[in-house]
Amino acid sequence: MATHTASASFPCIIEIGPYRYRIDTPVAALRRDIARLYAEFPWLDSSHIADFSIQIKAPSIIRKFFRRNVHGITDLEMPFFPVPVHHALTCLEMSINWQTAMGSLRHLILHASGVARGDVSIIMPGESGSGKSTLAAALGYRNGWRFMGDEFALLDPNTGMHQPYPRPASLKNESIPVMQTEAPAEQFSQMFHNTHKGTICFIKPQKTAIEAMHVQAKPVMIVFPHFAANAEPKLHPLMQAEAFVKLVSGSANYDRMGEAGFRLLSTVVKQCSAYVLTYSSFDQAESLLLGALKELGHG
Amino acid sequence: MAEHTGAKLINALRAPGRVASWNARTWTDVISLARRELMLGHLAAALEAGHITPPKRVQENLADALRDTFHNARRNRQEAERLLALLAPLGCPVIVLKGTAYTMAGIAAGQGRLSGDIDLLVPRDRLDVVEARLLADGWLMQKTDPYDMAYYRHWMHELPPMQHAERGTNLDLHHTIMPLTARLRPDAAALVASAVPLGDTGLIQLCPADQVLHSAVHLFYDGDLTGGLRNLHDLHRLISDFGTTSEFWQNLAERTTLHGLCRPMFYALRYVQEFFGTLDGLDPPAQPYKNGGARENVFYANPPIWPVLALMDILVTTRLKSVDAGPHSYRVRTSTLLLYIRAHWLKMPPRMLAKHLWTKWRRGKSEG
Repeated sequence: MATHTASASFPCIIEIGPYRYRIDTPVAALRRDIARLYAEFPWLDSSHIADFSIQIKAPSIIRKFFRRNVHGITDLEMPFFPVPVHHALTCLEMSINWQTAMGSLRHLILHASGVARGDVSIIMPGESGSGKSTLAAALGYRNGWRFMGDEFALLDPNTGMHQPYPRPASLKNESIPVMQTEAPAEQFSQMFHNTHKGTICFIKPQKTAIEAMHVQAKPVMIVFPHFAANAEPKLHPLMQAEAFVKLVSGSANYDRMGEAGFRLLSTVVKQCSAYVLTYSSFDQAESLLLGALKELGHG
Repeated sequence: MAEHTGAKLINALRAPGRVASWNARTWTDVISLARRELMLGHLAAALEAGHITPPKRVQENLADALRDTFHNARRNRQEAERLLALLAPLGCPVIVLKGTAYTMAGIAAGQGRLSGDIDLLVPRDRLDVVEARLLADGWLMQKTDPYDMAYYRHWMHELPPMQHAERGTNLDLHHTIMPLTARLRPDAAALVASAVPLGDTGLIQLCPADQVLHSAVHLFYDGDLTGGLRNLHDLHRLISDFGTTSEFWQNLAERTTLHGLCRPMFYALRYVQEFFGTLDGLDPPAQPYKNGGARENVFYANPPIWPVLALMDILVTTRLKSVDAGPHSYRVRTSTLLLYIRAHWLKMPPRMLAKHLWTKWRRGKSEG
């Protein structure tokens, strides 16, 4: 496994779910970080075509030496500021997000995390800070669950299915120590302190989730997670129409998908039960979700 | 020396069969470059027209680009129709310019084209009422700084860019096609007077010759050639489309003289021919630029002196063919800077330019 880690050559092409990214950077530390964080993903040689090209490098020659920072160069203009060179990995993750969200119309891209159980899946939309990433990452390390992605839930217009996109999950601030009790230490990246979102850390998906990254699942639940310490855990039903509107407003490309996007999302929302999940521990969240799945006949 | 990706992309647009020899790396390079230059839809259209089936992963990316252009065109058409309904009661001519006009007219230049904004032109003496109507309908000026506002109002050919508060669509409202401060002064009244219907949409567009002239000044006289590949490709498609009749060339010669735009047309014909071989496919009578008697031709009436032309050749070629070196390569940056200085030089008399740059620099410093 991961024989490329020692000999990783750049530019590299990494396959993540349905997309292939050509990534290049002159920053040696970032190369090591990428090799480690993406070790279990397929690394392809240059006889493969990549969908998207991303470079992470210093914005000017001065910044290679003085107050060193880097920025991301994608196929699309990036509205982001450079970050200090020791935050380069966060810059790469942001660049991949931006490039994918703006560049792909092959899938309807929802701002949501996702988990699957067997051949059915749960889409968990939410704003930054709602706990959607942490919940998906945590469930992904529990028995019987499969991590489908922490930032984007992809829906395939051809099949109406949930397409896995199991990138390393981005954990922020308080969620980091919480996750450290859920997954082995070697699955975590180093901590990035003082970013514009506070402290960030990435956690790799389980290897099994990466191996199954081409296996689509049928979405049966849409769950808006809401972490609230000491709150009464509950799963509050939501009208499908409301779920639809919320998903649209959080979609990266719904407006550019046209009718295909509308048809796809209508079909998916109609086949799903929608809830708001209030929880203060992963155990509560897991048992509520299992209960709801069982009720829907997916026990 | 290996061919630049920009040159490969241009060659594929010219002769789609060329892609048969591309390896995976070239495809990755070209997809990335074409997406960055808003040319992926044009590449898709060219391959489709040439009945070329690229590798599957390329097909997926091209299909994405075509979806994007399809919805972009639809959105712009809807926006143009809304604007027509909004402005029609004012009884003033509203001319649709550039990409939106191409896609609405269904001409080749519109196939696969992405337009980030709607460009409209109205007579300058109706600008105030049109602006008031737009502001009342929820369009917002994207510049609020008093200096910028004054800059656009007194010196430019358009108002500051506007965005609709709810729909997020962008609008540039023009009253002519070159800055008021520039030495070249196209006849704005003639642009309006000769406008022609835009299909059965109820809107109007510039006459074909004026469309070509507008595209030429936009490319060569309005900035540092950012997005230049797309704009040159526009010119190529427009000229290929319109240039099949000798009436068009007659008309283009007359309009070029009328608007005093010999130099921009000189560059336009030079570089579409060099990059796309545009004039090759046209009948001999439609090739004023290539004919032996070119010296008597209006497009040749005022060519640049040779050192200027030699420099332009280098800058334009660097900027358009080496776009794959990325916006951050030093060679590209240098040529961009020189083209930027050139564009400003053409835009304003020296003293005005000095004052403008001084003001912008001081403001930049106080903001930074």
